[in-house]
Amino acid sequence: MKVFYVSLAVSLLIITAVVLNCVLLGVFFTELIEGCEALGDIQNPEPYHRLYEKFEARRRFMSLSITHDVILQIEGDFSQMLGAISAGDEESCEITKSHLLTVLVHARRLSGINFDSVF
Amino acid sequence: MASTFFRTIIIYFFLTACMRIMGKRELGELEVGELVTSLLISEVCSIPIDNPDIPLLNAIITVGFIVCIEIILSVAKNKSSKLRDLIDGKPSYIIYKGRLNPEALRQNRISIDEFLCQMRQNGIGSVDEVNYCIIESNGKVSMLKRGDGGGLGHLLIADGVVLWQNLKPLGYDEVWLGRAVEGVAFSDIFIFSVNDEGVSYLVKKDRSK
Repeated sequence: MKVFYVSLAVSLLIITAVVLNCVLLGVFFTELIEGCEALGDIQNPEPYHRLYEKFEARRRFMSLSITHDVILQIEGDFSQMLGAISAGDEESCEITKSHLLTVLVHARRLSGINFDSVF
Repeated sequence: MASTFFRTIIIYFFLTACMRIMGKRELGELEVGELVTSLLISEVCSIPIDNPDIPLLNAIITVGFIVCIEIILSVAKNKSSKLRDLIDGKPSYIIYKGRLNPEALRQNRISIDEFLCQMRQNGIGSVDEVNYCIIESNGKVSMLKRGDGGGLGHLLIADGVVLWQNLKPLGYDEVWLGRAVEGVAFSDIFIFSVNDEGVSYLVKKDRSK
């Protein structure tokens, strides 16, 4: 019976960890999406860099449960966006920002518990 | 290359530990639930080994959860015969007390030729030699010849639970059962069975543990 109770406790722990992971990732992606939507003038690159640093700070936590492919896409978009800012290319920056938003929304959808992610 | 190598090593030790926790039953004849568990574990573990883009933790968490569910279900199945029947299925009697049951053959989709083949593999040449032929819930066919000891032992009480579904076909009732167990409370009995000749076997629960 000891194994039974340990299994019960571990399975409850796993369910809690999965739900907590979903909630934390959801909150984090929402923050990134809102931050990305708020980005404006490329003459002021500070908010762009801050958003990238925010993502970098939690990248390791995300890589524990999000596929590395999605993380690579996000990193690639940030890199392209920051490059466009350095080059002063506003049009390219806008296109990349739009792509980054799509990837973030997709990642938030897939990391949560919903119809899209489960089925 | 390196990630696949290290992931395979981690999965190897993790799976070995899981199989040890689940016990020897997983290594021998598999019931339906155990087969599903084994298939799922191998599939889930192969995903991160094949694809380095998938985090290893996904497989470890999922397999850990499957192992926990398997242990919880196996304990629950020991406690509830209904749950056991639902998940693993019931043994099916092809021959019961020497009488062939063609309906059971049809239900199990076994042809006469396959049945005769099973008999021969069990060292039996003719149907009339068989007293009991049972397809166990793990798919194995058990055959008992006529005149083998006292025949088949019918389990009537398991871990304090009376198996009424086994009692009624034998023509026994609660009053007979109460007399047969000599006043021992049903809940205090670990196993009580009776064979075709009416010889009973009783094991009480060990309350000292």
